[in-house]
Amino acid sequence: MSFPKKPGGKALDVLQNLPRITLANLRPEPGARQTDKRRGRGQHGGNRSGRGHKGERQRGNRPRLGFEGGQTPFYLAIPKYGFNEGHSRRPQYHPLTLKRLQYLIDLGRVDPTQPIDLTQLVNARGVTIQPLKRDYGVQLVDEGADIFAAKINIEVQRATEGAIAAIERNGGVITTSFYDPISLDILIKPVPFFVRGQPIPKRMLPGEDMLPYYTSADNRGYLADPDKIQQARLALAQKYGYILPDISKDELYHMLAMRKDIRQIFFGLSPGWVVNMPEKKILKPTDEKLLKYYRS
Amino acid sequence: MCVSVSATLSCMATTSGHHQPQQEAQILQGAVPACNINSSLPPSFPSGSFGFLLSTCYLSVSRFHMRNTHTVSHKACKSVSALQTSYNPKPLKLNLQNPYIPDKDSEKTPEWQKTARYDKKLFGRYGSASGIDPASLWPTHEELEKIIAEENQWHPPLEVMLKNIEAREKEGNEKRLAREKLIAANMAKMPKMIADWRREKRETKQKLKEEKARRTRLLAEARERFGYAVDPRSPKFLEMVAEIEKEEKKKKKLMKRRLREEQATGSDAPPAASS
Repeated sequence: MSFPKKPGGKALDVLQNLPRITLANLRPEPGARQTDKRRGRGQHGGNRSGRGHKGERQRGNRPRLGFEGGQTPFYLAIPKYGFNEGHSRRPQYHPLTLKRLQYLIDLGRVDPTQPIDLTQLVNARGVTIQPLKRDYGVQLVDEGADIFAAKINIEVQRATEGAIAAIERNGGVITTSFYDPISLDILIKPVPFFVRGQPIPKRMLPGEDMLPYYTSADNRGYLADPDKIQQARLALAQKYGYILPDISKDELYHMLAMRKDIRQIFFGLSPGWVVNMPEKKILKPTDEKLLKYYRS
Repeated sequence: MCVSVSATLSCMATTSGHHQPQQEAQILQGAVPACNINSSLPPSFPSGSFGFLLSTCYLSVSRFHMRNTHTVSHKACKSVSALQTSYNPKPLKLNLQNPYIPDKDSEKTPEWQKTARYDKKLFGRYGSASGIDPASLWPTHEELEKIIAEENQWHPPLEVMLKNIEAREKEGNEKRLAREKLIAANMAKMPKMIADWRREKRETKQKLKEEKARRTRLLAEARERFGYAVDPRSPKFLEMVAEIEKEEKKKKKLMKRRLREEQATGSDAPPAASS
């Protein structure tokens, strides 16, 4: 009678004695790979290889999609209308819902004790901005306005009325502000910009097409008159039926009152300054002409 | 051109007059792993959001405890302070110990490493170790003039833009109002025009009808007179028509005269009657 010494002994032996698995001795399982079909070989040499007789079908030179054999095709027969005219040049604003903003705050990815701008949102991986794809920033959307409960000072590029109301109801502050594509690129990726060793540029003003939006107090535009904004805040509170909390008595008043200058890209950094990352230094120009340029 | 270098970020508060240190820290906190400038303020959440926050916080804490084979306790409330903005930044991948500074005089150095643009990059990467004059980071006076000229050309100031917008709006408004005025004036004329058009149409119809009736009458008369159906183009018929017309004219004249006479007598009579 023969008994195996121990179960799986042979396999273990084999495993122990086999060479180490490397890329050199790895290969697909037998049967995992299917060989390509080689048509028209052997006795089928003179045949059509399954492509039928003659013509475009056999030769694979079908005309373009929508071509109707020379007759004016449908897609050209119907007149076109400019609904989508200039669509490839229109500015895009990624939606940021209040629900997602609350989520980011709750997870600690966005700090509500500091003013929130695009840098914070991008750092928190809350939004992805691609200035080269004509992104001009984010739009705050009022989805989740009923569960939004944070008091924040946020700066976005567009905001719906509901979103503005939801933020101001909690005693927060919202500003819509414009960033030209160059400033936007700097704003969303500060460190790669600082490593380039260039002075922080001035933020450009919006064009004439966008100016009315940013000068309107209803949109909380950054170019609007502060007094009018206060009026608009009260009007919105009346419209949505909530009591506007008095910010000036708030313990976070300093944070909530923080606003960027029209020409400023970062909080606390003026245009014209150079931020040096390895030495952790800020260099400021002293030349009068430069200062005048960067101040204007 | 000279440059003032403000102190390191840690003592920025003293140097950068009206700006707050936390603000500066805010931008850089994601960037510099070594410098510990992460604001360690305990987050004071608005009381309104507390309940909501607590629930999510509780969840995260419970998961943490389960991993460590602890029981979930009432500590969940306390751990709100542990919920703090923490951001794991990308490391600054710069070789600061052994920086690469290209030799400007060497033939082997590629041309693009000898440009002013690359010098700026070097300063950005290695700071003063790069040996670049910080003043060269800013545009020279000539470059600055060019920049200003370009900006003046392409970026009009805010007031100009606002004025342009206002002017355009005004022009558009005027155009619209003029058009609306014109439309209103024309619409006011509309009922009269419709009435006129209807009357004209009715009159032409009436005329046509009368003409037709007269023609049939004449034809009937001609048949009566000649005893057979006459061709309306024949001279006979035309003669007859002319004759009839003459007679009618005469009759009309007579009628007119009689009417005038009657009127004259009538006009004479009433004053006689009144007097």
